[in-house]
Amino acid sequence: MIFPFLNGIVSWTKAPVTWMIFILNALVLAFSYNPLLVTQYELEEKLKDDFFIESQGRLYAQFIEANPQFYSPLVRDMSRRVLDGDTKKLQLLGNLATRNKKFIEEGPEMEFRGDQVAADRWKRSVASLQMMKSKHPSYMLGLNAQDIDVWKWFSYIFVHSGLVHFVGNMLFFLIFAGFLETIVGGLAVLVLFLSSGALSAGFFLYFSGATAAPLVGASGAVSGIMAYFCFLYWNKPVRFVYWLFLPLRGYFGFIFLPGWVVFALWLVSDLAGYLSTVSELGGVAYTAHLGGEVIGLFVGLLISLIRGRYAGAEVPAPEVEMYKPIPFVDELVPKRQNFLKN
Amino acid sequence: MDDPFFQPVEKPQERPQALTPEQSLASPQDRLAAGIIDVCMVMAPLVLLIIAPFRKVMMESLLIHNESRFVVSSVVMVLLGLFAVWIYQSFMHARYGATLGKLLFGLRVVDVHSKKSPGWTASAWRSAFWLVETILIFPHLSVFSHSLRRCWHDRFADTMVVSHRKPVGRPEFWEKAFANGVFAALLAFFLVTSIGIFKGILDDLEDQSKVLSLLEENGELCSAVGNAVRTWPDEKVSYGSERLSVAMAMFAAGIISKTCLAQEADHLSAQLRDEEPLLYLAQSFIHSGNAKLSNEYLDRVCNFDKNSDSCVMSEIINAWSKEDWEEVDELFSKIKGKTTLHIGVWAIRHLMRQKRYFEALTYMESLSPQKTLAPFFNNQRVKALWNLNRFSEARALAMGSLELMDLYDSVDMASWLCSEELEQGCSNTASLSCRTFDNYMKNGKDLLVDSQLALVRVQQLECESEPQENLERLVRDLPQKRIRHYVEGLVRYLDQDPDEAREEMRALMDSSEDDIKWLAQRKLVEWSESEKQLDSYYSSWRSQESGEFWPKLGRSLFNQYYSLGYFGKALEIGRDLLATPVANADFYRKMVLSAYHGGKRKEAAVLLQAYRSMEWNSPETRIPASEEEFQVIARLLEKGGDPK
Repeated sequence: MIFPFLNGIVSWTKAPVTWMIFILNALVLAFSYNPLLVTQYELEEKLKDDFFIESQGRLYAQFIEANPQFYSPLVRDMSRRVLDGDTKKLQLLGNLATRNKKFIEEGPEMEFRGDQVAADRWKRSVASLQMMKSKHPSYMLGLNAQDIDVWKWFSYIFVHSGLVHFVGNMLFFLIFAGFLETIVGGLAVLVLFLSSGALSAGFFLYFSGATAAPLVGASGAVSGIMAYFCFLYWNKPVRFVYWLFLPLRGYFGFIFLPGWVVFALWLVSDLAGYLSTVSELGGVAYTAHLGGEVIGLFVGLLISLIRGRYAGAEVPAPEVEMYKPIPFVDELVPKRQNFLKN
Repeated sequence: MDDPFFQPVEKPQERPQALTPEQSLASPQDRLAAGIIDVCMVMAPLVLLIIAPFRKVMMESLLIHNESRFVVSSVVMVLLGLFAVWIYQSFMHARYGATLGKLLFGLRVVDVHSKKSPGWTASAWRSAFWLVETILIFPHLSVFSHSLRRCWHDRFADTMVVSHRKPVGRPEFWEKAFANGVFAALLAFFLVTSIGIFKGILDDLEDQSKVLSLLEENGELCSAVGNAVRTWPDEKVSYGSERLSVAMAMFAAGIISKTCLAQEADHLSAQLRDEEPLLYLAQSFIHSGNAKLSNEYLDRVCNFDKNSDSCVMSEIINAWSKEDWEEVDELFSKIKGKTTLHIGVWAIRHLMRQKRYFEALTYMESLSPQKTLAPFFNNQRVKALWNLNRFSEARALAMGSLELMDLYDSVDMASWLCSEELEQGCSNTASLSCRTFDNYMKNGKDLLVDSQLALVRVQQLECESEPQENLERLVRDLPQKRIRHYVEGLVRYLDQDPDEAREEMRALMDSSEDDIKWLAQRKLVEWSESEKQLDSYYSSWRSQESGEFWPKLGRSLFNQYYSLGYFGKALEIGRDLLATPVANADFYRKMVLSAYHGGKRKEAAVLLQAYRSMEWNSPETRIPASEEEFQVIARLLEKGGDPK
């Protein structure tokens, strides 16, 4: 297990903007948590209804048959199988339909053939689903294909789909943005955070296509912050904490890796995720992460060019002590920054 | 701060030669930690990136059920991942003498003879064996079992791992013992597991019935419709709504499940270009658990042709749910003669439920025979004949049908007939149906899993010459806990311990919700010795007054009051049972006698008249010779005289 540690979580007096952004995210989560749970439960209950999902699968197959130019060969193949009577694909196609903006918008107006009871019932259910979505925080503030107003390109950054999602994003944010703020200042962090978030949303919409499922979370913006940090520390040691699953002295502690290694590991992980995900099924917005990483790197490069110096050559000294010792851990384990000299 | 990343990597040949490999063995912990670093920081990201496009293809193949593409992409993915790891390890060992993890922990791989960095060939072999070891068993375990701490992949490639920083000595005795112990345990585990799996496969192959039931559990039963349409006289039924009509008939006959009918309906629903009333009718059955949805479908059936069979059937269902039997009769008669088969099957079920056995028999004759539905029709014919007291015909038909039925249907038929025969008296234990059922049960203890069959078996053993011993033996084979308790209660009663037996039955009555509850209550009634005891069961029976078992329990109460000579109470109970399926010829005869002995001679005469007019009084019907008293009293009543 290895985790970027830098200087840990910088105090709010040293990184007030970072903490403000964190608090804003936490407040949005606190206010949206209860409605999120309630509406999420209602939505899931609806989507658990086999009759609804199977009817939706059948109707979606007819819709795809009528509008093949908008669908990938994979989805067209599945719909053809359903129309040929392959009932095994009904549930899957029905679930995929939930994410398809065009179908959700235009389907209720379409005249379907065959079972009219199922079609009428589905149309009523979709109307009630849309009502539920209008109360769901992820749909209200998140960026989805049915609603791409400019303000939503920013508001989605502050909404999270649950506690785990929030903790995951905010932990990285506090560590990297806090550290960065001591070097480049609060305004730079704020601008970078918002611009990375907005532009990574653009990446997501361009590469992943518009879906009815909303994009939420600060991961794109955090990726931008992390990428910019890695650019500044391209050839400099970045402190990681590690534990090699052995409860022995020397198998846990700190390790220093250059910024480019950190960046490469993140990039590879997101690229692998993006390349291996079937676009119709994706749950993690890898393209938003990649967008944030590209933007963070690009901003770093741009500032370097303006200032006329190459990446990582000179890094302003942070206002906090660089890699301050951590009590107990530093006493126990040898520092490994000179490992290559052995 | 020094920048550690611009320091040149030390080449293996430049390392100090002062330490011999024997003096600088790498510790197992360092090797494990180096392995973790390699996996987490290099191998996993590298492999995930390289195999990513194939993972996507694999997922897509899975979605569209393209098995060949799935297998090819999976194999390519695995091979590519292994190849990437092999290349990484081979390159790093040959070029730097260590992987990234080993570099971090000051470890180096050296040739065991030359003490220098291994060449490309040795590195390639070492990596290949490491991969094999990783797939088969944890690769670091063998580090404990060699005096120079050489893992198997080191031994194959003539290499060893040394440490520049924290060398350790040769393994202690306990380390070797630990490694060998773990190897032995793993080997034993593999052997036991393999033997277990092999034995399981053999057992499954031996037990054909298990294989069959497995196929049914996996939903293969729906192929029943496919098999039926292949043998159907009309070839048009292979596709579309005709095929659905066959499925509907099979569903009505209880041959296929609701799930199977739903699969047929879903299949047709996706293909249809127009609305189809029969499909709506099928959907109303399929969604019968959701009354609102089911009714929506029913309402839609008549939107097309109000005279169509499907529309009439939808009206029948409506009338049926309101228990408006006159309306149901009228609607069935409206489409009689031109009716589709599935409606015919429902009509027969309706007539049987209404105890109109003679009409049911006549209706069955009017339907064209179908091989697939033969078990259902035979079953209904046997039951109709039996209830008409045409026992010989029922027996002959049942026994003749057994050869044509599959195992489940034939056991079902034999068990039903045997149960009915035993209801008439234990003298019938030697009947053909009971002997047939006996053979089935002796050859297949697995059949006891079916609680209905298990209960008939209990009923059968109760009538045998040594019931106690047989029932005790049966208890061991019974899988259902509650039936075991029921049989234990019977054994206790036979052991002359009636109080304990009654306690057992009372416990079952309190805890059970199924057939056993009623059977236990019935036993308590049969074991009653006084009017007082019977009266308490009578009030309990009177308060329940619903369900399939209610009339059977009432019949037991009636019999018990009758046999103890409380004719007035017997008559009172009997009046409530006249309209139920238990009111057979024997019951009517006892009713006539109860009324007569209870001083209700007018009522006795009316009952006798009703008895004479019943369908069971066909020329084939014969009354058991033991009913001499009835014959005498009947003659007197018909003459209007006094038997005394």
